[in-house]
Amino acid sequence: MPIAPLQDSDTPPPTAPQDSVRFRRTLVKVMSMQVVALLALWWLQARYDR
Amino acid sequence: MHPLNWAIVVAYLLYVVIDGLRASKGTHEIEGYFLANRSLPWWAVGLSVMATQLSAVTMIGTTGQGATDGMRFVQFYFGLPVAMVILGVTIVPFLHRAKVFTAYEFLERRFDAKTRSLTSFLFLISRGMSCGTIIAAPAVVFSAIFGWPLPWCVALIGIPTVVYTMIGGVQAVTWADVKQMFIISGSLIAIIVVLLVKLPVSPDAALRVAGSVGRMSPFDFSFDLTKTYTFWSGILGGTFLMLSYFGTDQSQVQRYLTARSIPEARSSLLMSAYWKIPLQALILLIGVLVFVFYLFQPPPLLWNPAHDQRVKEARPAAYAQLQTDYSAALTARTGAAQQLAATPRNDAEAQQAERDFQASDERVSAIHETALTAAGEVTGEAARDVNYIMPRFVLEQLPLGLAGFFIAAVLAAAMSSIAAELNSLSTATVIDFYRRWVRPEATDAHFLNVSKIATGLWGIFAMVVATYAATLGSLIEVVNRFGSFFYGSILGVFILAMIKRATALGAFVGLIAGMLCVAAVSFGLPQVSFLWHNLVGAVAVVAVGLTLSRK
Repeated sequence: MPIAPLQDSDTPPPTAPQDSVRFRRTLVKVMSMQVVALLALWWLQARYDR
Repeated sequence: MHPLNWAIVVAYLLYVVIDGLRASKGTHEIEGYFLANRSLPWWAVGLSVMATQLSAVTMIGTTGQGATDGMRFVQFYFGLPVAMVILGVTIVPFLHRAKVFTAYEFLERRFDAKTRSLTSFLFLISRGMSCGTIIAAPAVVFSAIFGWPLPWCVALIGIPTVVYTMIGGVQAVTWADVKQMFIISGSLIAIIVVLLVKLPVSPDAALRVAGSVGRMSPFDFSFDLTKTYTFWSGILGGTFLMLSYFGTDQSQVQRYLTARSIPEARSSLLMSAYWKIPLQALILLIGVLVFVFYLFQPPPLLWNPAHDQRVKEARPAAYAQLQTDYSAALTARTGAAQQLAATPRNDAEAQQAERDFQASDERVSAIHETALTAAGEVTGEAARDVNYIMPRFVLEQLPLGLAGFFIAAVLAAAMSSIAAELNSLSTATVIDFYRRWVRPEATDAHFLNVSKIATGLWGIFAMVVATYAATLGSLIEVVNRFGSFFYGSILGVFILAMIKRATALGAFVGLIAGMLCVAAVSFGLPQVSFLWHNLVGAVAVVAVGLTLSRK
């Protein structure tokens, strides 16, 4: 699907390479934390649920 | 409560107001008042986003829910990290780059003034009402626990918040949120330590006992649209709800518009995503541990002391009989819990011990339900007493000083949410209506004064709603259902804004069609959980909007 008109104020600014790297690194950290949290909850359910 | 605990609460309230007044220095124009001159660091914005979401309901209601219903509520947040990542790469760069004050201002640039005004108006009515319910929830609990008149409790929570938000603007709100987040986290950690010290069984045995009565089930994979909290409603409906809330609700959008840059705004959202599921799981786990604590310590027949007293006075004989039955059932349950905790997991007797404990717990629950029904009949009010479990535990079991710290944390949680809402309500009122339609050419000083007045008026409105919300009981539910009518639909408009061929007519008619679709589902299929309304609304707006946008 085509994404919005890139007119002046609506245009997202070009992302600097270091920003992209930082965003990707943060993203990996966030998703890793979610996986760890979900695994921990899964373990709790497997060990303690009736 | 001990005077030392009160001293801590009063010191906290004074500190918040004085600190808010200090933060107001340098706020001389509306860019500073509403957006802190877009100068705040990502970690402060991230903590502010987290504090805004952690309301007093989280501190007292979610822990109570953990005690009575276990861990399943955590599924509600499963869509949040996904939503934050999507927002980080889509709507955040658009809004930040557009240099707007409100999310709805962006819609006028993309579509037209009527789409902007309608979405902003919907935000104002839903948030204005919900701000009142955010004050009402802790005020009702404080009123019942301390025996104070409800309007005093509403004023205790509302007035300091209105004062520092009105004077200090978003700068005061954000920095107060940061400190409040530390108070909230500190009090939660203190409660965990106290629970672990006071439990007469090991943590492993405690969780095993809780699990035997269904308190340790964070995952429910059944695809049942009538169940509110399942894995699928959390992942699908929850993602759309969080996209709507964080991407289109001014109370959240305004937080990341204050960040210095787009990467910092994204980082602040991701920081919130990072901690949300673990933090909510921890809060629910505290509730589960409180449930286990009261297996070995007799709990009251009714957690709400005001209801307990009224039932005792209105029906003395029935109350005495219930109390006698309850004491006997509790003694049997304590014995069964001790037996289960002491039986090794793989022992042949373990299954029997588990069945005995389940039967004894059902007996206790049945008597408690009878007492709740009696309380409902005597008082004429909703007799659900989940919200009173944690305050009773804190006031009766925490050591001196910590109870005051917890009450301050509940106030902090309430104030951080209310302040963010008041600030965003004032922003939308002034920017989307006053400056857009009434006085477009006025000076910054004029808008700053109007903004402060608007914050104060919204504060008064919220406190009035809070006083009535508390007595009407079901108003909170009405407000939540009302909000769910258009949350998904507003998200649909923002999705349309990012699709090239969408037109203003398509967006406006799509928005109305989306709300009608949600209303049809809500009234036609009332058993469908409200989390799915967000998905229905967003899909309907995009479908109708794109159809009407065909050239």
